[in-house]
Amino acid sequence: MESRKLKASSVKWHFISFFILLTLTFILLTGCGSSETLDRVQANGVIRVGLDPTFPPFENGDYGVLEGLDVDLANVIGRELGVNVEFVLLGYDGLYDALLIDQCDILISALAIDPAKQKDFAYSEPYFNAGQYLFVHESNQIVVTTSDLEGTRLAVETGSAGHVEAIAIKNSIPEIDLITLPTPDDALWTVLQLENDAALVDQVNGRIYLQQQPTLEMIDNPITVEPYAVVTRRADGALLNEINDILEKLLISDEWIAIEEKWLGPK
Amino acid sequence: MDARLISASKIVGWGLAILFIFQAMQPAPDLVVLGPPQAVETTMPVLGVHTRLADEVEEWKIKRSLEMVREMGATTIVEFFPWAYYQGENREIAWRQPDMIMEHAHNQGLQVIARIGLTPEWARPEETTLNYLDQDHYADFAAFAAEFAKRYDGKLHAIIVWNEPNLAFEWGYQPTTAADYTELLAQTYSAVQAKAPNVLVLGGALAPTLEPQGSPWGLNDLIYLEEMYEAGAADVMDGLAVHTYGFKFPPETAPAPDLLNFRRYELYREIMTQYGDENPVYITETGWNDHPRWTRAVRPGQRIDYTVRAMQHIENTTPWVETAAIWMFRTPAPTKSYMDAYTLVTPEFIEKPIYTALQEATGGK
Repeated sequence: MESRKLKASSVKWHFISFFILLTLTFILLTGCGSSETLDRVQANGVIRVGLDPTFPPFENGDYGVLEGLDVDLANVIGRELGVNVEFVLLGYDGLYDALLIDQCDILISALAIDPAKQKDFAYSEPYFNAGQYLFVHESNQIVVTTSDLEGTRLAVETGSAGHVEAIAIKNSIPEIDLITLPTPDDALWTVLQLENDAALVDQVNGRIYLQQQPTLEMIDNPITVEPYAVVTRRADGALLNEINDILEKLLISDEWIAIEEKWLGPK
Repeated sequence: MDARLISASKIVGWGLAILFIFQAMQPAPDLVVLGPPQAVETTMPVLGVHTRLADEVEEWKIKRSLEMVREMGATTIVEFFPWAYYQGENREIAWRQPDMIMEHAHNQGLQVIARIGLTPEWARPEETTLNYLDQDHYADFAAFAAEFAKRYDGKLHAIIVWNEPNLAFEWGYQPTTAADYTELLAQTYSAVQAKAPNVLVLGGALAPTLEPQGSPWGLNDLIYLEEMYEAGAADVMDGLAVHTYGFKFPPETAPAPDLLNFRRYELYREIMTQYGDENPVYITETGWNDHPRWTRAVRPGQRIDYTVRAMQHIENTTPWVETAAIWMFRTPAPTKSYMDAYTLVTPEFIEKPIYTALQEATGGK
């Protein structure tokens, strides 16, 4: 009886030890324990946001004023953290290196999630999908998804990511008539003129075009996903968690709809 | 039997069982065969492409890349073979990876130009970059290049000595002197000549740049090339490797010393002629970029149009250019940077429209 009790107790301790080890490993791997940068940001009252100011409408400094969707997003994050935002202007190629050597605390610069970089960096929940969408005329009653494209004329920009995707779609639906044009605006124009049934264009170019041509519509069902996210250093788990908490609330708010519409127009 | 012993044997038993299950779940190793020898069908033999196979782990991906190069109608690949990857401190050379690339390229009927660079740790001081090579180790580099040439004699067309030595970064942040580079070229030329006289040695591969004398970043390629000839480069190379990019200009834009554009190779030719060098030019990197965030990029449609026109121009009007290799065919994984916008196929082997356009222009496949 005593030996059975001992055995049960031993199994229990092994289980507890294993659980503790697993938890510690998880904490180590996710970096959840580190709050050094977050503590410093809060102590200094400033978060340094790195960005490349040459990519409107996300960030642009051409007119002497830094502005764009990412700039507004950074300001919301700063406000919610209760700190000021200091923008660190960088070249596109130097963004990640600048974060790694602590020239800034985070990056918000229309950066797509790159799994290959996750050894050194962590990404927030995505805040924008820059992937490909279908755009149709408001009178369109046919095209809602790619499966509706059979027998239609689909316009794309020659050589673009939309073109590559359209070729893949056409491989499974050969009855699509693929029309290639020099620019995304040309592709959208032909849909506006009812020459073609739909255009496959990335969300940014498409929505900017829609601002002037409201008789076109974007079908809010992405064909490809190119998610933009906030980037932190891998070790800054506490800061990342704070940013994710902020994004979770922001992305379903009217404030976010207003920010998106300010820079990209309505969906 | 002791209860502890029974317990231990149970644990070992379970461990072995789990190991067996995991082993059984592993996919069988891919069996990649060379297949029947192929030949390139093309109406544009000058077309080449710079591949990036040295970082490719899986053999089937190397094979598929080279099949697609052939099917595009390109006759030549330029491939980077990093010295630092292959030769350890004991001087033994790990040939497995280059063997694989060379065998598949040869089997696909492709001509190979090997760019050799990157210094192993044992051949450079601590805290220097992989691009650092000092004079004490020029002979080591030359010996490796000669061994490489000898091993692949019959399958290897040419070796390019180093890469863009007129840039400080590419020269390990040492002063970028053309005399030093020419000495490296001379030692390599002699070593390769001695072991594999059929393999050509190409010099140059300079970066197109307008950096003035004294710049910490590099030196204007035209000045550097003249300095190479002044140091005697004409006698120690069989051809000039050239990097020339179109940036935002159409391919027909006339060259000028203060302009970086596609036809800059014509200015190189003028310098070669001036120094009596009638050897051919090998364009080992060229192309346009269509990344939306790069200030020197063009629209994707322009990239296709310019590239095809550039290749046709060289094919039809420039007999002294042996090869024009487009940078670059494919990367093993997305770089998520403007480099992705130079490629002809995706990491998943999906043909980009520029690939199809080149294939149509060459009548390939």
